[in-house]
Amino acid sequence: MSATTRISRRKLLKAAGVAATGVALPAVWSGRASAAEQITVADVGGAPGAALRTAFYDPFEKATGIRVEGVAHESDPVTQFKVIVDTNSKLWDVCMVTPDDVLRLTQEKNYLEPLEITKGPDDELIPGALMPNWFGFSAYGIVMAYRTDVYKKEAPTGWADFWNTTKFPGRRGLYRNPKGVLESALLADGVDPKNLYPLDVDRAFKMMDKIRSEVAVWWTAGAQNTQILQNGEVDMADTWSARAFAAIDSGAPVNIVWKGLYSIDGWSIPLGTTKLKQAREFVKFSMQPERQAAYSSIVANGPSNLKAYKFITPERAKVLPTLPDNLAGLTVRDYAYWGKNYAAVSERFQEWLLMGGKK
Amino acid sequence: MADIASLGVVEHPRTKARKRKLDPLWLALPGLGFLGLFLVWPTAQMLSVSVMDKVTGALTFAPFLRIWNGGPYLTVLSTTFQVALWTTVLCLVLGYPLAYWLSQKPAHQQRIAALFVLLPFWTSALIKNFSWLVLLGRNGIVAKTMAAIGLKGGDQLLFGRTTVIFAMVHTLLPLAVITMLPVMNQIDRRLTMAASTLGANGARAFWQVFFQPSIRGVASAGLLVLVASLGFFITPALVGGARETMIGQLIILQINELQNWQLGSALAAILLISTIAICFIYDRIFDLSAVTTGQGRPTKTNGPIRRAGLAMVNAAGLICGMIEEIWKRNIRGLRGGVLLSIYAWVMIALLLAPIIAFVPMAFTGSTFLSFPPPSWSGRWFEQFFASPLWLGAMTRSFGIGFATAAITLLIASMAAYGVARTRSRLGGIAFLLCLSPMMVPSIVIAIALFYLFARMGLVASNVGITIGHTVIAMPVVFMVMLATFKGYDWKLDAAASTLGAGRLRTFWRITLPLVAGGLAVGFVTGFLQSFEELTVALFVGGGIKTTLPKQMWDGILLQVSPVIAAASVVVLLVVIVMFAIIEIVQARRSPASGPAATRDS
Repeated sequence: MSATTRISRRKLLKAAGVAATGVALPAVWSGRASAAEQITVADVGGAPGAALRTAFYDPFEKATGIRVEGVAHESDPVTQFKVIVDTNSKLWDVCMVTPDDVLRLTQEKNYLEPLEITKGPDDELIPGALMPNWFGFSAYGIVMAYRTDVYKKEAPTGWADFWNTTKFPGRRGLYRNPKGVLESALLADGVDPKNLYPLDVDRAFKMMDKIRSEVAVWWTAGAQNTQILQNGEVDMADTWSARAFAAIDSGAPVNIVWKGLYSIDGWSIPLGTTKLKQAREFVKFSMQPERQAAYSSIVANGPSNLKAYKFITPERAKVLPTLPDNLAGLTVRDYAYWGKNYAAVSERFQEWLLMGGKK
Repeated sequence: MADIASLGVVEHPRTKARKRKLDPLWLALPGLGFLGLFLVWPTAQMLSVSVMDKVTGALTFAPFLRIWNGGPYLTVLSTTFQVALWTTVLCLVLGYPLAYWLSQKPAHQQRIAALFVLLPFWTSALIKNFSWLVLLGRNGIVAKTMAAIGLKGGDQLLFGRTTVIFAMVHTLLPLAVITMLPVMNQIDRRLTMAASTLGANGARAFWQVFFQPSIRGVASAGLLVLVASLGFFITPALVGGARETMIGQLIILQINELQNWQLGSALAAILLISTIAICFIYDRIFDLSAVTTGQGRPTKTNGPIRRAGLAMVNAAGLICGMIEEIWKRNIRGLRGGVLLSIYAWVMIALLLAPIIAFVPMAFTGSTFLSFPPPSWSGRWFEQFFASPLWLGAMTRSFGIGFATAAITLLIASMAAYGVARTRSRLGGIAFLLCLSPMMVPSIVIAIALFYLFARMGLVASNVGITIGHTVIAMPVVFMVMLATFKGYDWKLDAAASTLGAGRLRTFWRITLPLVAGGLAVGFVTGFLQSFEELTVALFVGGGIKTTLPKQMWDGILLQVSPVIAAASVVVLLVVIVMFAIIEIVQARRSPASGPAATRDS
């Protein structure tokens, strides 16, 4: 008995060892062998990650022969980005970031390579899409969504209606983060979108006091936002347009009000990458209207190059934030303001949350 | 192995002639060295940021003053402690009867019931919380049932302190039960029988004979649950309301979003210091060395706390004894044992609810998670098994899981053996060190390790993730092995050597077969800890070495696709298969091995 078990124990250890090296080996090979003809792009993963492959990565490889390996970064990539550059580990060649991130990555110390790309003569970029070290390819609306089965007679048309709980009674949901929420409060209070920044923080918090008791859910993740709209946990909520569209797409009675802000997801190149040329080529490639159209046909974010609408069906264009009709109600979120004030406002927001909320 | 073998027969603790020999505590050295290198050092380095000026590097206490002087920090700290205390109390009160019930079962049944209790502990926090969002939601199945039977408030179940505490108790109850169980298993049942012979009824026998020795298990369970619950952050973020911000969330906000490492580290340091303070106070009241070695320092029979405690226990015994008498006289049909069984099964059903609910959700025909699903389809499983990403992640998780389990089992068993057999007072310190990975928030461990690994070239490597997972898995495996070794009857070794067996022979033929069950449990525990770990995989993996939970996290961030549910059903099957393997291995070895069976009967 003990002899056989001893053998099986040894076998088991051997098997575990083989399994462990088996897992480790391909990683070593793939990491070194194809160094020149491959770049690593960090994106948000999930469904958008798959769409990026179809719309950008695979076509880029076809066009240039450079393979793109897509890896998912953390929900907020800045810390990971800094750590990777600081430790010189060169894990990423391109990373998907927002303009807010760009500011945080250049404030105290520069973490970004210059892009050195310009728009082509035919390209028509929306405001705020190109910076020296960042190119935005996919815009999303920070807007409002409501359940059409709850507001049957009269639909809310803007942020003032979101705050008007006597005319539109019902459960509200808001993002557990001051970014975007404070702007919504000011818009509801009648501030002209043109004069939004710098934010009148005191006025915004005064407005927030009025809505506090009606907010049932302070959501924290995009997935949660879709979920609460889809299953009717809330009747009205702020949303990132593609998140609300995911609920609509699944057949939920939800509608989007195109009033609020927009921001753009884009590419930056980490300082010190050894494949700078290929990385720049990739960023430039993502400006092509056909490619952006292909992406917006899968993910409900708007192309930053308006020429892309030539390749998008009118029906699809309706749900995209950068369609001129929709874009008219949106203001670009001021990343410079948030870059400077986020820490202080966030602290105040946390304090405000603790004072009350749903009883 | 030979080293362990030579120490297989350490001198019996009660032998008077004390030979000059190394204290067995030296066996804990590899484990402690590992933790020192991969936990204490990198964490200390990271936390030192909190007292260093950003520019000059001079000593400063500015971040601590800032925390003290205003902002949300003190309120959040107090919320954290209140939630953690409630969670601990509820875990102990609800878990004690469940552990008692388990301890009454024969070994085989006990292991199967323990599997049910433990399953939720190894299911990812994300999955459980999303399950609650679906089940307890405004239009969820619970709300609908409550409305159907005329109960109000079914649409207000989520997003409050009660929900957070409920979800946390749900997560930590298994830990409490599994820590109390081995201690209860060791209590000699004949004592209760003797008490009955002497005229005590069931309730009095329980309170005055069984309860007192079981306190040791309650104390260590309380400590583990309290320490673990202080670091929670996903649960309050997903099911909590506006006021339920916990310190873990603020640490992540500061470090991850605001890049204010100084304030983030200061908050982490406060959390760590509070944890150590709790351990110290605990040691004053409950005597942790008793928890570790089972002997402890001689208690003063006249100590006021002890006397008060004894009086309370006696009073409880008297009152419960009277209640039992009245109960027996008036309500004949229902016996206490039946009630206990009903209670235990209700608890187990509650524990399993969010996990079992995921199975039908994985077969949904819709693109969303909903319960019950509107239509049925197997496409999410097809998608799972057709995706190289998911399969690659699963393979990697298995590889890393096995490697982690093997390393952790080796060093944790050695450490547990050393701590269990030592007579040195340093044993308590070694015990706390082995549990220390539980006290440091996992995000701090992950970032600290990233910096260390970057210098060693281990970032985005499977080795790096394995080391990180070994750190994380250490405490639980250590606890399992400690319970095993403390339940082991060392007189058997002495008997074997009296009968002429050498140390090696004794180790191979007596000790090893008897603790094999514990070793198997330890291995599987280590494997599962690694299999479910997210934060270290997130950071150290660098997004390049993707494990299964990391892959789930990517998928859950923007939209919860039912593929996640399919993946977690696969994980559930893996867990059950692992347990089945232990069962088979144990059945083949000997019918009465394993920690559950070592009690005297």
